[in-house]
Amino acid sequence: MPDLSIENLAINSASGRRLLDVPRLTVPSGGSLAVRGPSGAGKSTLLFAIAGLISVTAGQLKWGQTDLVGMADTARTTFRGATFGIIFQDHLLFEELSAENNAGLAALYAPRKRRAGIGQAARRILTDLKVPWDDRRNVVSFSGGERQRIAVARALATEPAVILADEPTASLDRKTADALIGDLLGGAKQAGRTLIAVSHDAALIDACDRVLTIEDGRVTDHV
Amino acid sequence: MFEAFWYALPILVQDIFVFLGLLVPLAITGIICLFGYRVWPLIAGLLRKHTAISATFVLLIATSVGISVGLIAQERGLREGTARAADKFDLIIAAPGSEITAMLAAVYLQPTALPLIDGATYARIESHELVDLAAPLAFGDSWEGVPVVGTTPPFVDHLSEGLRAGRVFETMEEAVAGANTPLQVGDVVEPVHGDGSDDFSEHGHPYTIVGKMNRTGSPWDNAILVAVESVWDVHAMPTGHGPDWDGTLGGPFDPSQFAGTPAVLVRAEQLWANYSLQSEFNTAETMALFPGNVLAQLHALMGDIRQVMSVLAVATQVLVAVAVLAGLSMLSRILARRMALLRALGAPRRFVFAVTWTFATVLICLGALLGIVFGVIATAVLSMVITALTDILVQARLAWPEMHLVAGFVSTVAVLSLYPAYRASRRSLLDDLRS
Amino acid sequence: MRLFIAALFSLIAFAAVANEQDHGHDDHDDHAGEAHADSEHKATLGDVTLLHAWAAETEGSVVFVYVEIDNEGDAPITLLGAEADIAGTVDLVGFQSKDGVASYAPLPMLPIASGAELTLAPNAVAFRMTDVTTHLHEGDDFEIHIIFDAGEVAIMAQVEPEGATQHRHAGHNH
Repeated sequence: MPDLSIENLAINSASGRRLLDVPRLTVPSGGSLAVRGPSGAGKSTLLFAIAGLISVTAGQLKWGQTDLVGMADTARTTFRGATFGIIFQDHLLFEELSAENNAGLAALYAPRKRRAGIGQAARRILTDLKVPWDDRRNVVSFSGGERQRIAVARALATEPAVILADEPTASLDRKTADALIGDLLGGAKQAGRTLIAVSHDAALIDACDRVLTIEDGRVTDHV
Repeated sequence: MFEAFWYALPILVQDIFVFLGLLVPLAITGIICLFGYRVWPLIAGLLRKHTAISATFVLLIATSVGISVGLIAQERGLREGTARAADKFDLIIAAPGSEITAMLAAVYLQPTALPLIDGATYARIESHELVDLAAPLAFGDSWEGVPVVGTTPPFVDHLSEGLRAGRVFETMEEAVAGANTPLQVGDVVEPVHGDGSDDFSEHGHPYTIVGKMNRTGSPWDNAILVAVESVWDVHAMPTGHGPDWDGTLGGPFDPSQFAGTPAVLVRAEQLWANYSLQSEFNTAETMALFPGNVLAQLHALMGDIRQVMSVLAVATQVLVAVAVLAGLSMLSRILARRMALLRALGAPRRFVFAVTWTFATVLICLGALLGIVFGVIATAVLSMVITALTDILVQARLAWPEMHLVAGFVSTVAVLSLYPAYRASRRSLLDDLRS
Repeated sequence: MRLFIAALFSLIAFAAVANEQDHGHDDHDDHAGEAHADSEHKATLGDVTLLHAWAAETEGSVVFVYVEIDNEGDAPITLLGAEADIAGTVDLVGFQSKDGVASYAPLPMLPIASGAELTLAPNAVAFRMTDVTTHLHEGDDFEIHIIFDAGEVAIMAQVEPEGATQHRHAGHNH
């Protein structure tokens, strides 16, 4: 399981404006990190950079021995698929697919020998998360909480080493949110899985090992 | 070796091979694009999600394919129909002039003023040992726009192969009506000179309809046939027979009493005899022509027009294809967020490419299939309209050439769709994800 | 509406005239330089003159050969067929159209009346050579023996471009 290590990370916008500076950040394998801060401060930018979804302007961003900076796009996509499970802020599900197909989406493009495993994992996790997936209806008809849990199942189905989550509890009521926090962190501890979550949710922040605060593109607190 | 093998195959097998051959680019592209991926759940989902826009694309493609396919089938149907309408006219002999004009007048009853063939020439034709049937075709009069043609009873038998109702005319006051005329046995008609459009001059010679012909699929279905003697008679000319005539209609005619005919139908049982007669009567005084032959030459020339038409058809298809591709680019923008999400989750670019291409190709294939259905309907409707307008029975059906066109179109557009699919796979992931 | 057919056919007739004019033009250009070759285009058998034998270039092994035959004699003569070294068989065939479908049917013979002229041409009468082993190219020529009841005559046939409808000197009197 890879550790995350960041040194002197700088990210500029396309127009050259500095979006984010992170002098130093490490997350050990199996650890959990909450990233908090006001809207627009650069939290999601950091998460996307860690996921290899945006290019880094300067500095170092390593997962174990793999340096995402300067890595070709194709290789980054492959690495992302193999390493991360990503949970987006507004679920981003394929509404016209069933819960099962959404959770097992990676089976559509994964190598043939992994397909069955992904499908089984997707169904198992949906069951664990109490999502009713048997009836194969489209996810349009699911509640917000159910959809978020489908998104979580999708992130976990590939059995990734790292979960990257952007406001995973934002659209959930308290009870559902607490249950989800339990699932994410409990599961992460059990499987030795790293969790990095951007969140405003105090319950989630408190549950994480470490907390990083970002304001206006700078790290202002690192506990 | 291959050539010999190819020509030895039945035509149907050749057609099927060509059809499959034209689909090979589609198959190869598909196999390469889809290798290792399961795109169908996503494609089915996208079709459900974007039903309206997908249906619009399918209809657009179907309409274009339907029109092209229908026109090509129609052109062939018209060619066959005009040729079939000329089947009964083995050899036409007329005064020298334009073969096309003579054919238009004799076979398709287009009103034309033709010079006349005299009695001596007619007698030479009628008495020729190779001739099995000779009949004057004397046109010029009409009844309410329906041409009235003077001829002989054997010609009616030859044209109609037995009557649908009644009998052949036996006197100068009797007539036989074509299958599409509104006339029934017992009706009385009074023709006018010419087509009745300019000077309305009735001849004062009514005819009683005594028979109705079978359908021939030619403009003769909308004609009235009378004794040639009566046509001469109403124009105050000799009736073709001497003073001791017993009133039996038809030949042989007395050359000195023969008032002239613009055209003569000649028929010999044997094909060789027809050609021999043609060479013999292609002289300074007469022109002998095979309508089938003239038509074939026209169709050969029409081949050029057809090529122009096919070029236009192809150009139209290309334009539609371009429109489709432009639409696909729009579509790829609609799909962009989903595709970005796929890539964010770790799906390779090639998977995004495969999904976009497959989606486009499914729409194209559905459009092409529906287009064939449209083509069948368009062909049937156009055939009916043309048959009604011209009395030439047009029976157009879709055949292999149209299938080949559709297969070629599908393959071409499927290959062209690689470009928007490529564009879709190169879009900026993050912009699309955040939009 | 008969106007429809009229319009259709006038379009075709126009194309026909345009096509004729093209040919007329070519004839004169080509002919100027080739007047010396006249004798090769002509053959006689008694009072029968054969002129301008030709075929169109083709990829296939079936080749149609055309010729003008003029019987200037007092007696009819009957065309029976032909033979050619380059072909397996040669049939005398006549174009026919049945139920809208065109085809060529073998003709056992073709009498040519005294004073009559028979023009073998596309979509009419032709010699159909099958199993032609040599690939004929534009500008090639080959010998064909034409058989009448009165005897046999050889003539050189000229290979015209693919899709040609007549001999390049058609209409000239040699």
